[in-house]
Amino acid sequence: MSIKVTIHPFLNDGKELQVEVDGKTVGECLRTILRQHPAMEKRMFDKKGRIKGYIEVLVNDHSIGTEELACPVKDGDSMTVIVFLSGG
Amino acid sequence: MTLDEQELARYARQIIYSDFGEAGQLCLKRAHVLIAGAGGLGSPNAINLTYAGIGKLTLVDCGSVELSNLNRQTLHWERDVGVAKVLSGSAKLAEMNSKTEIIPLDIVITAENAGGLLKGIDLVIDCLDNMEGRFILNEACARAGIPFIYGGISGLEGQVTTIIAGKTPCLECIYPRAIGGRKRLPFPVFGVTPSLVASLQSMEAIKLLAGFGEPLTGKMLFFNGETMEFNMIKIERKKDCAVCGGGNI
Repeated sequence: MSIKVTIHPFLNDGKELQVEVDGKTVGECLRTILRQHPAMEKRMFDKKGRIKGYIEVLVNDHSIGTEELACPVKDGDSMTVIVFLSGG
Repeated sequence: MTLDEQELARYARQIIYSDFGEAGQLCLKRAHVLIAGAGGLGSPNAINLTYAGIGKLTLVDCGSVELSNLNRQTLHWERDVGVAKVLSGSAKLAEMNSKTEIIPLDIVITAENAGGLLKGIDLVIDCLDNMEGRFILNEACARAGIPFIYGGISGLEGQVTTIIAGKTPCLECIYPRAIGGRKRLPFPVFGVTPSLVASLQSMEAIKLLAGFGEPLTGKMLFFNGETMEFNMIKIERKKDCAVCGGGNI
């Protein structure tokens, strides 16, 4: 199981991160990445372990809506974690 | 309504655009656009549309000009610090094009007043800096059947999409309402970023009002100015969207 994950620069000190991880769900993939990049955890999750509201997760360029962490992924999928830019 | 000789001369370079023509210019002249926010995004949008010949433009903002606005909010100048943004902005716009009627509204957009604000409006450009207002406007536009052009920025990054509720994903389809509860933080920004996003929003507005081209619907254009990467991400409607799904509009 290899999922190509792209993490928005906002979550990684201004640098886009691209990694391949194993996992059956979005949540599993993110947890794997966070073990290697623990600084992202506070930016990505709230204190209750929920993904923060201003972060959007896309699988194969499609919004996964409210499924978020439980959304299944399969070998070859791509996953993108983006921040909703609210500034004007 | 017709175009007079002065207007034909003034807008000649856009009238000769084959898909636009005098008919397109008349569409702009008849249009009433609401720009929500007179800051980083609102300033260039208001300038673009005023120069393009929009007939009526309502500018809404509840803030006053601060020194820290002046790296990007091009409608406001040093002499305007402390002045209500809509007054500072409308004064400049009136000098840019005396034929565009500018309506300044120094108010907060709320769920209670949003519906009334949209009466007679043909299109809304979202230039707000907070999620609460964006969701309120998104919902009000969906209920009124008014196109809503979203733009957002931070640093050297920006994103844009055009929402036509009932036909395209609305803001609530794409993002959880929970973002609306997020505390507003000072965000980093260079003036070039809102300038670029606003130009894309204005381009969408002109196309939609004049009825040509393909709108940026069903996809989010995202750019990173630091790397000069532009990406288009497909977005989809949520069947159970609280705003536009399941016959809610």
